[in-house]
Amino acid sequence: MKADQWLDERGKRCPLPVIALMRAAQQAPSGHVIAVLSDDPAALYDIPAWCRLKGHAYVAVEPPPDGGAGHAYLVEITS
Amino acid sequence: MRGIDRGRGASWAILANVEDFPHAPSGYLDAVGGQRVLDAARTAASIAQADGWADPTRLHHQGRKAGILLDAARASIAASLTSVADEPIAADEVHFAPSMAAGARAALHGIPDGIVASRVETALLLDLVDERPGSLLIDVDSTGRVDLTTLARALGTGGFGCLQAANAEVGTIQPVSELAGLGHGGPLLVDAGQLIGRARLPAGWTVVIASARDWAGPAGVCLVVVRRRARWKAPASAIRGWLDGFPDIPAAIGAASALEFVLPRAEAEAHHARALIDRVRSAAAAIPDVEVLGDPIDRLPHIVTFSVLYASGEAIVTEFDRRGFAVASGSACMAESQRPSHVLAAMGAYTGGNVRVSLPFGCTEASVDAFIEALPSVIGSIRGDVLG
Repeated sequence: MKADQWLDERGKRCPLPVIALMRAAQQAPSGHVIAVLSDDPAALYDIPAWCRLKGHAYVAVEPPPDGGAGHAYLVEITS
Repeated sequence: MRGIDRGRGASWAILANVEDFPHAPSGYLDAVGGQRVLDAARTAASIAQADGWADPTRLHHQGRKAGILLDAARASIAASLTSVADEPIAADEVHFAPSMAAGARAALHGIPDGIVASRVETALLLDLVDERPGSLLIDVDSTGRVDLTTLARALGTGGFGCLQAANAEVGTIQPVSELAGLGHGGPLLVDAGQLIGRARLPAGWTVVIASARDWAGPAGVCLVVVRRRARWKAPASAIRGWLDGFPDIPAAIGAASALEFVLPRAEAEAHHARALIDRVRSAAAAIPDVEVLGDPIDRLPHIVTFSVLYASGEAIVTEFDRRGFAVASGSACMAESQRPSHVLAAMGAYTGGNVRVSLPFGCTEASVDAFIEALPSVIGSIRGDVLG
């Protein structure tokens, strides 16, 4: 899936990637897809859990497009 | 609700006049991390130091004295456990190990095949399970309770199972006794971590392991209780019920004395703790973007864990410590491995900003009330720092 917005949070630890995602989500229209790049091992659990708690759709986890460290977590904002 | 109160009514009544637990240190809310060893245990252990130092297998006078003390500890623990279990436990079914890891290794001694375990067993048990080819881990639901149907199906009628009595991170009680009802008749290793002294021991186990630290006994002694009918042989290094290394007889006596002290007080203490934890659960749930974890009802009386969005576990624990409260966290930033708790991960819970409150014996209402009062402002100040 193609993201509408990329957040490069690599090198940052919990809770910073989720805070960045929350801030972006506040500005995003429904259906907007945000990709969070993170190499924090906790992100694998915390981004899906955040989506569940806030009612957004956790779409997928993919390798980062630049071949760098971590993963790209795709989240579709629903409001 | 599985309280401890299904025990023999008469024995509680006789002991109704016993003094209460001594008050735990003010603000100390990390029983899982450790409790002050009870005076009863310290005194008994120190008396046992005088006579319990020789090799208890020797036939000389000092050896026999040590052996009598070790046997007395086993008999005392068997009697104590029988009062909180659905089946009687005999002295020769009680063994000791110096650590939960040693106890678990001894419990699994001679088990060649794969083991079916829940995904939320302690890390030390999961390490032992992973070593065995053919082992299988069973998923849990969002409260941390194992999927009983899948577990029973994987075990079949005779597979070797491994299931904790309760989860020590989130408090959820596991369906141990229900397994037999689904046709499992094979061996079952039950990790009773945080259960003994807090709730009754469910039926259906073949081997139980438990740490005396959980009932405010000494640190270096764990129980391995093995059913006589189990096809289990003690490791060759075992000495008269002590399964690994040289018997620490004073520690065994201390563990037995602590259990004798705790169990008559356990029912009242469990009611007290359950009510206090209910208040913590409500207070945490009232804060925005906080998720309270674990089963709200079918749980250990003294434990609750909650997740706080937009705050790190490290920051929360540090700020509480600064304000005089000791709490724990299963967040990655608090783990030596820098990995989040495998229990929270298996539950699909938010692992960052995780806080675990566990009430020690003798925890005062004042400690919990002060914690509840501080909670919103601690979270607010940390979120203010990171959210700007």
